[in-house]
Parts: sequence; C-alpha cells; structure tokens
Amino acid sequence: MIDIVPEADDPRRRAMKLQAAVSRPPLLGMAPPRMSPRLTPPPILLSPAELERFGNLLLFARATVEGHFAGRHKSPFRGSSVEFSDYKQYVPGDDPKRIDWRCYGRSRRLYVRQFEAETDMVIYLLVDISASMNYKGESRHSKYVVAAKVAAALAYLMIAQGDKAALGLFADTLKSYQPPGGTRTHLHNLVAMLEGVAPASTTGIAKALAEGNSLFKRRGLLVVLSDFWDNPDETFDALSRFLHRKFEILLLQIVHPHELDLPAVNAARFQDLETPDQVEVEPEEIRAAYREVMLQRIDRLAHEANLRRINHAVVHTDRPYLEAIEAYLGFRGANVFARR
Amino acid sequence: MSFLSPELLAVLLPVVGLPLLLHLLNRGFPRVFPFPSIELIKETMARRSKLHRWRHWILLLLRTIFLILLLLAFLQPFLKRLGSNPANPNARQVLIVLDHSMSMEDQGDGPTSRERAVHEADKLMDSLGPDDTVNILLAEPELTTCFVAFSRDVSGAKRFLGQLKPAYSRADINLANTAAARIIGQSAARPEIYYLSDFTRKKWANANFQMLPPAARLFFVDVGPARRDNRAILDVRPSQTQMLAGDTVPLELSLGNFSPEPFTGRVTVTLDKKFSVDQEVSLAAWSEEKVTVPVAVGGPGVHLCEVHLPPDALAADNGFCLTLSVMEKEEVVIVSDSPDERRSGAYFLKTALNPYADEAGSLLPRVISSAELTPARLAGVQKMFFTQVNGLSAAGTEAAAKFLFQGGGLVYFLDGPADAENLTALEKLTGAGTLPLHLARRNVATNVAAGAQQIARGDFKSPFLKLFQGNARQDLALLEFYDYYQAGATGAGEVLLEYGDGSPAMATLHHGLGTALLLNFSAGEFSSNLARQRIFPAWMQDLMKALSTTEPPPSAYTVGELLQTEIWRQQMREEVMGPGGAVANTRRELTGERCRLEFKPDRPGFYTLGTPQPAYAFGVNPATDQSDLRPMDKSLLPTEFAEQHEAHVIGGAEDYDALAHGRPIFHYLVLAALSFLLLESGFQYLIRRKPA
Repeated sequence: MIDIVPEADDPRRRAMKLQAAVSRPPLLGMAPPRMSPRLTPPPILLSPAELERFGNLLLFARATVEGHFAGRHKSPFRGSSVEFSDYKQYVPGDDPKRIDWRCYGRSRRLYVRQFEAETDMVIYLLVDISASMNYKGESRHSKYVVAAKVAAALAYLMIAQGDKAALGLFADTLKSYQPPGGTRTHLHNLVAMLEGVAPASTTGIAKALAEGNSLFKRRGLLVVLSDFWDNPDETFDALSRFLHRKFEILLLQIVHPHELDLPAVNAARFQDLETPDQVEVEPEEIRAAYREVMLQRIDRLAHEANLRRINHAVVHTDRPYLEAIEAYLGFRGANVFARR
Repeated sequence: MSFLSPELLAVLLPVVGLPLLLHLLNRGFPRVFPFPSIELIKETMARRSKLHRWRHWILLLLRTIFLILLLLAFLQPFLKRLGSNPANPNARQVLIVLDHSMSMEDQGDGPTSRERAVHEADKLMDSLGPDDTVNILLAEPELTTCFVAFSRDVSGAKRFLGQLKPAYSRADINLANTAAARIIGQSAARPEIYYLSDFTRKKWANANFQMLPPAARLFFVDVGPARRDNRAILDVRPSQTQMLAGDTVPLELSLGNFSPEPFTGRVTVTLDKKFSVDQEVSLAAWSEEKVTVPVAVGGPGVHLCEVHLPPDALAADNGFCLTLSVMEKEEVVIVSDSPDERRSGAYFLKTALNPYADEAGSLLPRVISSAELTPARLAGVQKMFFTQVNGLSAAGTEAAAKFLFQGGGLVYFLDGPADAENLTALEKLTGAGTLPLHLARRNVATNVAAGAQQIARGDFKSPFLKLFQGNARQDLALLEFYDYYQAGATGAGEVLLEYGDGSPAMATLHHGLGTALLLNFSAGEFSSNLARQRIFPAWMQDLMKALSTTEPPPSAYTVGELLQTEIWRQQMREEVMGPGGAVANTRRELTGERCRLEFKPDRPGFYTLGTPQPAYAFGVNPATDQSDLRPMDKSLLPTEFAEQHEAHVIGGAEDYDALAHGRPIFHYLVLAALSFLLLESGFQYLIRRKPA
C-alpha cells in the first residue's frame, strides 16, 4: 500500500515550512545543541557546506539545465522565458495589465497580449529502500544514506530552480510516495520522508515502477536510485512504459566498494541481506573472478540502458556523492560515472 | 634417519595439528558476514574448478607437511651413514689397512691407485677429532705398521704415508687381517677398519675376515681406476736349463693381456743392453699366452736379458729382467769300438752332436774306445754315448757305473756284439733288478723291405721325447729299424718307446744321480734309417740337454724374495749394486773361503756384483700375479665376509666425517619445508588469481 503524503495547500503555511526547512538543523545536518550526546543523531543528508555548494551549482548548472530541457520547460527566473503568443480582443475580466497600449495607440482598439502558459519540470525520485541498501560495510554511511543524500540534493536543486520534485520509496513494492511539489515545505517533507525510513525487505523495482506508472501523472524526469539487485529484464520492461510516455530516465546505481571487490575478510559465511541464503567463501580466493562478474553485471545494466536511451551512472559510496548531482546535471551527455 | 634431540618431539608434535585445528575451527565457527547480495558470489563459486573445491584439503596437506618438515628439522636429524652414530661419546679408533702391492701402481685415471689411497687416508685422518686414535697397516708380504699401537699422532701418520714408496710386491690380506686383529686387541671402543685397495680378484678372493673382532666396522674403500686394462710379461725363462756358449736359446715368454681388447704389438728382448730382438705378438682379450723368442746367448758368462712390452697404465709389469748364465763348450764322450769310418754309428753320432765345421757347435764330441774308459777320462765329462761297444772290462764297467752314480748322463745304443753281457755286468754294479729290459735274440733283418721294425707306442710326456710331442709324433713313423734286440720289459725304469712286436725300443735306467737311456737300435747306416733323418741331430742334442742334471740358478727373482748366493772371499768387499746405481742392503756371512750373501731386493731391475763385467747378477721382477687388475665383485664383500661384522663397500671421494658422525640433514629439511611453503603460496596464488 502506497503511502501518499498530501501536499500542503495553505500558501502561508507552506511558506513558513519552506523557511523552516531551510533553517531547520536536521535538514542542515547540524545536531541540536541541547540534544543528549548519548542519543544517536539522525542521518545527515545535507550539510551547510553541501547546500552552499548546491547554490553554486545552481549558477553553474543553469545553462546546462536550460540547454538540456529547452523546449520543454520554461524557467520563471528568466525574463526571456515569458514568450509572446498572440493577441485577443479585450473583454471585461481580462487583466488590464496585459493590455497592449501601443497597439491601442495605433488601432484605437484594446487588445490583450497572450503568453504561453508557464510550465515547470517534475522530477520523480525513486529510492530503493530494500534491505540490501542497508549495507554500509566499513563506511560511515549505508548505501541507502548515500542514495537518500543524492535524492535530497536533487530535490533541493529542482525546487530551488522552481521545478517540482516527487519522491517514491520502494522495496519489493512502492512503499510510499510524495507527489510533486515545488515549495520549501515540500522539500522538507521529502527530506523528512527520506529520514524516516529503515531499509528492509527485498528488491522489486519492476513492481514499484508499475505502481508508479499510475501515480506519476505528468511527464518528467524519472531518477531511480537503487543497487539494482533485481532482474534487469523485468526492470527494463517496467521502464519501457515510462519511455513510452516520453519520460527522461536516469538510473543511478549505488555500488558499495565491497560489492566490487568483496570485503577483506578471511573465510566467512556471507549472509544475503534480502534472503535467508548463505554461502561460505574465502573472499581472497574468488576476488578477481567475482570482480569480473560484478563488472559484467554493471556493464550489462549500462548496455541495456543505453540501448533504450536510458541514462545510467554508477554512484560509488566511497566517492563524493555530489558527483551524482553533477551526473544528473549532465546526464544528457556521456555517462560521467563510468565504472571504475 | 635418527635424531639428536628426540625429546623435543613430544613438545613440538601438537604443532603439527595446528593447520587441521584451524581448518576445523574455520569450518565450524565461520564469521557471518551480511552482504547485499550473494547471487554473484554463488555464481562465481559455481564457476570454480575441481582444484578449487579441493583447495582446503590441499592447502591443509601442504601446511601440515611444512610443519612436519620444520618439526623434523628442529629434532636435529641425521642420516646414519653406514652404521655411524654421532651420539657415541667414545673416541674413534681408526685402523687404515693400505694395500701396498704392485697393482696399486696402476695409473688408469692419472694418479696411481697408491696415490689415491694416500689421499683418501689423508682425508680420513682429517676427519679425526683430537681424542681419536689412528694406526696404519701396510698390506705387504711382510707387514709394516706406522705405530706399534693406536696413536693420536695424526701428523706422524701422514708423514708415514707421505714417505710411501712405489710397491712391486704382492699384498697378503689375510696376514694384514691377523695383524689388524692383534692391533685392535680387546679394545672397548668400536674400531673402524678402512681397507684402501683396488680390490683385484687375486688379492681379495680368498680374504678371511673371521679373525677380526665382531665389533669392528669394516669399510672397503675402492681406490682403483675405472678402467683397468693391463698387459704384462708374467714370466720369462730359457727353454733349456744349460746354455752353452754359442747356443741360440729359445726364451719362453708368458704374456698376459688383461683387457677386453686384443693386443698386437712387438715384444723386445735386449741382451746386455747391446743386442735386441723384436718379435710381433698377438694376444687375445683376457688371455695368457706363451711366446717363444730365440736369442743367441753369445759367449760364456752372465748376460743381462731384458724383455719389454709397449707401455701401458701399469708400467711395472711391462718389463722383465733375467740373467742368462752361459757355460763353456761341453765335451761329450762317444765310446765305440768300431772303426771310425763314415758309415759307423759313432760317425753319425759325432756329426749329429756337432754338425758345424771346425766344431763350432756348443758340444765337443770325442770318440774313444772302450779300453780308454777310465774314471780319469770321464772326470770332466757329464754325458757319454755308447755305440757298437765290445765287451767292457770290469774297470770300464765300474767307471761307467760310477759316472752314472755321480750324475752323469749315459746313452747306450744296443748295437754292439756284447751288449747283453755289458748290461749284466752293469746291473751288478747298479743293483739287481735295475735294468729295465732283458735282451733276448738279436734280430738282424735280411730283407730290409719286409723286416724293418717301427715304433708303435711311446710315452711322449717324457722329456726325452719332447721332439715328438703333438703333431711331431708322426716323425717317428719315418723311422725304420732293421737290427734290434728282441727284448722284454722288466718293470724297472721306464719304457719310453716300443716296437710293434712289443720289444722296448727305448728305456731309462736310473742309478744314483744319473740317468741312462738304453736305445734298442743303432744309428749305423745299415741298421736303421735313423741317421738319414733330419730329426736325428736335433733328437740327439735334445737328449743331451734332457740328461743335464745340474740345476742352474734361477734366472729371475721377485721383489721381496730373499736372494742367497755364495761368493768368493775376495769379493766380499764389493757392493751389490741395485737398479739406478743404488747399493743394496746385503747380509754377508763368511764360511771359509766362501761368503754367504743374502739380501731382499725392494725394486725390480738387475742387482749385480762385480764391475765392469758382473760376476754375479740377479734379475728381479715385480710380483706378476698382481697384473690381472680385474676387480672382484664388491657386492660379495659384505655378504660373504660380514655376516658377523658390519662391513660396507664405499667408493672413493667419500665423506669420512659423515661415515663417523652420520650426515646431518637439518638444512635439507628446512629447504624442503620452505619449498612446501613456496608451493602453498603458489597454490594460493593460483586459485586466487585464476579467473573463474
């Protein structure tokens, strides 16, 4: 059952929430001063430095975003974006601000200038919260935290530039969904939603996408953040529906270094995080062979995505996740996150 | 394999089980490691080879072997080398029995076997500790030891070996073992006896080790060369005992070819270093053959004769030295009462004994009548012929009997008119029953063609019939005898030839030191065709040589043999000069006008007394029974002799320290352990780096 969070309808309340979202410590990743040190701090999604960087990124990415979405999406922050469409004779009720007085001077008739309707872009962020995303190895953050950070950053970026962002959390099915919104409050809600999740259960990307297909009303950008430990054929079958609806799709594959090279442990019994399966293995013995198989799997995913004009990038949890944002900004180009 | 520190075994043994324990612990309590997905791990595992599946057991095996080897290394292992015991705290007693015989002079591989034996003995003594004792025993005809008993004076023992001279005699192993048993005595320690020899068959085939104490450890160290081909002059002797001036004496050479290849080469006989005779000889492989080389001995006196073969690895037996004592011409008396006409037997006999013009031969025949037969006339005569003799006077018969008794040689042709009476008279003097035949009717052939008698049987082993031995026997068939006595054998003496009718044709009569030959035929022209045969002179001369009773001194001696002779008193102050001009160490004993002289030659060559022409000479040669260098089957040594001894056959270049203290193998085990460690690492690399 999908948990759909209702969007705040009160503009004033929404404005307050946005202000609070920007200034609230949890969002900024700063622990409250009065918090007991014995309590486990909530996961830090966006630090002030990161947010500051996003600000810079906004400037840096503007041209890229404009170029990337040209013809599809008009940014309200640019005067050139208000484009003249047609004239129509003034009738009472029309906004008198739009009367073209020059035209009246020439023709003594009142005409009202008509503009193209302003549209904003929607980004659908689908974050994997299956149990496998809970793996963190010896890193500070689990794969899920990295995915959540990337998702939060992307949402912030989109909302900051006036677009709307939606968030879906899935494991074996779509667990919760936050419809698109473009306010600061909405951003706060997205972040709170990401923070309030404990990954569990198995991965079912195809099923989640199928459910999302009915929820994602407007065409936009679909970003799937997952480790893709699922059947790739079923995944791409499910994505094909979005392709048919002219969605732009970006697959961000979250990969922990241990998933590439196996952990540096002696003989151990490896326990699958999503299933009860176990296997005894000495990682040192199969490391090279396993790496080959893993890379083949990543290559296959990238190859299948490329065939369908789907963008694919690998997000390594041991590298700055901001690169994922950069990947998003440039995901029309070559995959900047080619495999290591 | 034994260990110097076996007590560590109990402490270190549990360590061997460590790999297994760790393996079981890993298998039993593996660390559970949560992982996002084990799908690819399973896939990778499924692609692994069988080797990978068995990797744990293989690694376990390699690690366990590594630890076992390391554990063994810590126990200080050593290999017991031929019964060695490094834990034995007693001092060693080492007896070196060094073969000092002629065969040890073989230079088959460069240095002689003797030099190699000395080298090995030096190495052996280098392995001795300060408390160890040593003694050296030379296996010779007469034993020589370095010390009276075991000694710590290793440097003295080395000096003793360094002064060792080449050997030319034989080694008596049994004598050496007896001496070794005496030297060892009742020693409490376990003595080590090292036999350094080339182990030729003749020396070692009958060696007896039973007299040695059972505690002794015997080591047979073969120092002989790998290739042991040899040719040798085994013996040389003149074919006749008495050599007269002017004789051509056949020298009988015994040559040996002790190699797998046949030999063809020249043998050289040199007389007085002036005259030499070459003769080509061919010897089959592994054979001993006799070759006859005729040599003109020249004038009277002592002649030094040397025989040489082409050189080979063993030089000592390629030469042979002998002396030839040549006497003056010998007078032979022919007693005959027939007129000295050209058809009489005496004439033919005289011509046969010296057929040369101007009596140039070595025999001087003189024809006398029976009336001249007196002891005075026979004083200087050693051989006498009777032919066509009339009745002998009593004095003549007595003179003949005395001549015979004193060693004279008598040949009696029974062709006279009073032979029966003469023999009867002679028998009275020589003793009744000494005549080998009794004569009956004289058979005179009237018809030469039908009445001729021939020899039917004979004892051809007799030295008097040497000319008719073998194929030469057919020469007797040419002889026809027309006049002879029908006679019968009495059983005395020996009948050497018989006619077809059974009458003895030739018989011997022994009396005192002399021998008489009774020939029942005549050399006369009308009595037989004997004188017309070419064999007649040779037979008569051969009878002369066979009748010689004086034994000449030996022509050759062996190194180490005691040489004895008598010299005149005037020659006492003269030295016996050995080979190379060295003065021989002699022992002299004066007995009246004569002096008894004896010495032991220690090297081959000529030993002479008197200059410039030697009055006495002795040809000394190495012990030629050592010339066959073929080694005995050494596998027989321990099994045959060592039933109650501990005995081992070892080659040259042996590590004698290891023989005494065992061979430590600590480092080998450490190396092996490291190898297994390397193997284990390689195996790990293989199974980890090998793509699935």
